[in-house]
Amino acid sequence: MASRLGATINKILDLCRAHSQGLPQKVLDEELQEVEVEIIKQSLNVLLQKQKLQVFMQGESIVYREQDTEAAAKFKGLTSEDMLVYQAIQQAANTGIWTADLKKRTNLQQLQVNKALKNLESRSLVKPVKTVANKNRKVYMLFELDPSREVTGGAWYTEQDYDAEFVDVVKQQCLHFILKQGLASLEDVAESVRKSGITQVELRLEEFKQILDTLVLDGDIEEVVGGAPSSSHAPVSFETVCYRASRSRIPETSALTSVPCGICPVLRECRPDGLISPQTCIYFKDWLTF
Amino acid sequence: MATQFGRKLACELIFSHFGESVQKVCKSLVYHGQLSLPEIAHYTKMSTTQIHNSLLVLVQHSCVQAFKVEHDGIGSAPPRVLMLYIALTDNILHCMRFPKFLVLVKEDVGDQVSAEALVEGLLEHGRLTLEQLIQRAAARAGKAEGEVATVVKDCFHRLLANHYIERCPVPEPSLCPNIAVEPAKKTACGAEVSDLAPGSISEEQRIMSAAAPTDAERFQAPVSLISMGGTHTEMGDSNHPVGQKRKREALQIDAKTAAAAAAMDEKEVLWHVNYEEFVRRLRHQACVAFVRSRIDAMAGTVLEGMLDATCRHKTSVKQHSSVPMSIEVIMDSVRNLQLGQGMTVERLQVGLQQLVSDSAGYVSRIGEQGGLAEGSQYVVHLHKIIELLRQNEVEGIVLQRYGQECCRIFRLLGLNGQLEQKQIGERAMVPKDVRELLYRLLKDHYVQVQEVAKTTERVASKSIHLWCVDNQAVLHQVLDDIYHAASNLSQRLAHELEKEQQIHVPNANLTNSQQEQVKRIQSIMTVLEASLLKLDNAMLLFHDF
Repeated sequence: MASRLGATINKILDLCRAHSQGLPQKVLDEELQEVEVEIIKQSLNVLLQKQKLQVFMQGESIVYREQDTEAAAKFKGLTSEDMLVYQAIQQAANTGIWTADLKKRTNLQQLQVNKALKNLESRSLVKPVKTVANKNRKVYMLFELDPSREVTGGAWYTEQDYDAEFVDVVKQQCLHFILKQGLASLEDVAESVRKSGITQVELRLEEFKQILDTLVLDGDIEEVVGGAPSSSHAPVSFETVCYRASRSRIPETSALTSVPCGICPVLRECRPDGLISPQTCIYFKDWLTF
Repeated sequence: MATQFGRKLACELIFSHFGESVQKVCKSLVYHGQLSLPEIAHYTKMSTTQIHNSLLVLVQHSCVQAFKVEHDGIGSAPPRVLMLYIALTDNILHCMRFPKFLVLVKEDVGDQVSAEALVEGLLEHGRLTLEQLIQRAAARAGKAEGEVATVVKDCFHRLLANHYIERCPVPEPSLCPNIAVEPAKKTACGAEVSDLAPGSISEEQRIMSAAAPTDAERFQAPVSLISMGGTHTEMGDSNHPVGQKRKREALQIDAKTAAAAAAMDEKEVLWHVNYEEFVRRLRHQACVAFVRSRIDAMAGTVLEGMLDATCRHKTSVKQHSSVPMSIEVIMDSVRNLQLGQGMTVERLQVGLQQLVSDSAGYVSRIGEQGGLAEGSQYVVHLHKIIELLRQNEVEGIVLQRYGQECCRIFRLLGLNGQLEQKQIGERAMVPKDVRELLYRLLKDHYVQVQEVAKTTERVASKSIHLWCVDNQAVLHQVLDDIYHAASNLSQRLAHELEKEQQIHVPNANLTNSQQEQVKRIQSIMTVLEASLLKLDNAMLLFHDF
């Protein structure tokens, strides 16, 4: 019996080595037709426990692959629950996975999940990372991975906190450049800010686009399609978006808001014979004292 | 118009101009729509003579229009004719703008004091006949009527040529009853807003169009002026001698009847101010100022020329686009302006090019032939300029009331339709406070939120909330706020004046403190009245333009 087990194990390993891309369940069944299902099951379990085999889902079918010894050493001594947790975390890749999601995915009890996590952490296989979305929430990801932008918030977040001043500084710099140039494309702006060296943080083009979009929304600059060719780059095509100073800015004073009623927070409650009325309004009193 | 505070403001204006009993009648008409005499009596509980007099005053000043409605007889009863009255709130609100109208007349018709005085008389009295105008001018100047008659008639003719004054509408037009009158619906804040399908005209407009004489008649000069043939006529100077001769012959033949007709014309035809024309001119001024600040002064002058040229072909006040004009027409018109006299063809073309290429798209070129703009014509889309102006104003208000970040969010939603809260936070770069800012805007009805359920059972925590900006609602809200502010200003002014009544009586020996008070009240009055005039500009922009 034991020899039969041993023989099956060896056969499976041979098959795995033969199919280095992965041994599909179908092929395994074909080759081991003469062996009983019970023995196949047992041999698979032994191999899994010894970390010699890895199971994957490829589409709808199961695929087996041999695991090299290094990886086997890493996982030595880990229980199957630990492995399950590890695999779930591995799947989450850059984004990381939250403990509650982990519980759902692995269908394990909270206690088991916690134990597994502690185990993995002590072996430096996974690490917890704080997210910006929810300061109290921690996500787990593989130790060697860098957390993605969404988790740390990108360049605008320093230490999990939205750095409004930094954003402001970059904004002012961009605006200054555009106003000086008259007409500039996204790359021009990005380069000028990088050259000025006001910040060590590496800012990507998308982040510059974010800043410029905000400036457009503020009404300081506007988008123009197909601008003039810039000096440092090749001539700009007609579809490129360029930016220039806005011609109609949002007015800073208007007729309505130069009167106290325009900025009054309780305008909706103001009635001639009510608690708040134009005759007794304190804002009016302040406005009319010279 | 249908805003809550607009009606309030109208009633207050009537009170300050005409007194309490007129205000009561006006109030009942403004708040209850069309009423007949017994219904007015029921609401105001005043005697019939009082109501009569008040209505006379209101009709005189074109604030109320009377009209007859004929109901078919039921069974054997004869057809009934009901006399109804409707308040013209737009005209009532024009009271605030009289100073602006006078300035406009002064600038346009020249520095003639009498032109301004004529319009002033018409504004003061509502409507007058030519004879009464002459009498008034004579009384003011302290001269005999014969002396001032020619000057007055001259000014009158000039004003008529520019369409600033017109014949009064028919006093009692007949209308068939509007069977499917939609009931006024109440909105959440208790204001009555009558819901109209977008394409249909309101009751007010229907009645006014029935009452108004045709365009040809409106500006038809009285017979006496045409037959005068004295200083100048509407016909060109070249036709002058020929026309004059012909008219003289006709007169000689029919001297008596013509003279009688002329006299009757002077005595009986009533004239009043044509508000539409004034509003149109103010609108053109606003458009030109906008273009001037957006592009440059020359483009502004070109636009002014184009708009002037369209004056000859106007159809309605709120027209969206002008008629197409060729370059020659524009050139002539620009050369007539004070600022456009040094205009060359090249500069004009440059200006036109700038206007056409502006991304807002309010001037477009049609019918281009062979690449050059030689045979092409230009159209001005006024409604686009007005839309831009309104949008600008609303964004300015949001900026000043709620701060820069709220303004960013408002603009983002205006440009991008419906968005979720998280997306708004990311794109406007306000990830933390976005919720609070959105709620602040929601409270004052600047944005709206729509809940989209994810599952079939509506679980609030699981549904997506989409935020958007409804432009119509925002404009309505802003207009209401403007009326509210104006109403508050006028009430405060009345209140301050009431408080200081006792000071104004003894003028001779004023103590220092009393002089201080007089100075204070004067500066308060200046501030309040100046703010009212400025606010009135905003009112015109959002409602009348």
